[in-house]
Amino acid sequence: MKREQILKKFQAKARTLAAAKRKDRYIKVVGKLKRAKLIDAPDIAKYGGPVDLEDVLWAGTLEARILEVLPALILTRPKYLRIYRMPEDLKQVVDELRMGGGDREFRGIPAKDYCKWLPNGVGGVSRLKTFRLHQEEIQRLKSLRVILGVRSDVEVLRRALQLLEKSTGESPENLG
Amino acid sequence: MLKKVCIAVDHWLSEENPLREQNGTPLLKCEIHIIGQTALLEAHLGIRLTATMDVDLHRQLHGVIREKLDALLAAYGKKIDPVGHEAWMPKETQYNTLYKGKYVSCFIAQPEYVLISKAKIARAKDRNLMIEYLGTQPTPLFFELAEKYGINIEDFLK
Repeated sequence: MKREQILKKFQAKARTLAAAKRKDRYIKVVGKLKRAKLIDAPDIAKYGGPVDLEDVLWAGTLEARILEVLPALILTRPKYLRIYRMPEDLKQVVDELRMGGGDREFRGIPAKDYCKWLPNGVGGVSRLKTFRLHQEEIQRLKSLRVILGVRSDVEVLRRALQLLEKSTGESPENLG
Repeated sequence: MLKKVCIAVDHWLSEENPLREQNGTPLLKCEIHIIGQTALLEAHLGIRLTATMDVDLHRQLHGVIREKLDALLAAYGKKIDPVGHEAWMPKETQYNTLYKGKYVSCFIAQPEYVLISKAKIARAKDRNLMIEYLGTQPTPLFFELAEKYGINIEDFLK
């Protein structure tokens, strides 16, 4: 096929895509994700109103980055979406992430891509872990929280773990 | 936004470097090379573009500068992609200067090179972007690069 013919085909497809991206549905979805600080779109304003999951999935067929951040949106800001029915593939991804897993591709998006938008990086949402500490250690944790200006004790522990890893030159992967 | 961040890093280094000089530690300078979707957003292609909140840098930065840059980007909800520097870019990639300060220079990859990089990697998530670009305003430079790197644009129609 000649280049002109090929470009004509691209022009037709591009017009269809551009028209779909001008629709309110698309603009609201992107605006909502922009408000959630998951997507940057300079020519679309933040949107504070309701958005249906169905619209997000539709918009994701036009811009795959929307699908990339969708699991993070559902896990971190579920109230941002109106979910009447969750498709099985998305439900499986979200459930796995809730359990701390997640290695399943989601509509062409590799797990490593959607996992990176979750809080605390790959590995999903935080899980409960209980320790018994002496009163003195609890006091030290509290003091460090104030000194470091962090919001919680667990943030102090996260930083301590990072320092420990750096000082030993070992990462959890190496430690087995 | 990127320019503001670069200016802030430059100001910070203007305070940091005299202290380093006093201590006899090497002065910090950096060149920031922006690639990926962030570079396309800066290019104003006339396509309705969206980007995730990671910023791809083609070259690694000194750890201290990287940390500062990341902290400043965080104010805008952005962060440096930890593996951004691993992305393939054509070796002849041309950059436009976004900012040139005393200690910091920031360069943005020209859109044709970024798009060729995306076309070569051919990720599913960039397919529609390629269609929109090829359907609106492809430049002769893009076709030149596509030929050089063996990219068959028809593949994006499938």
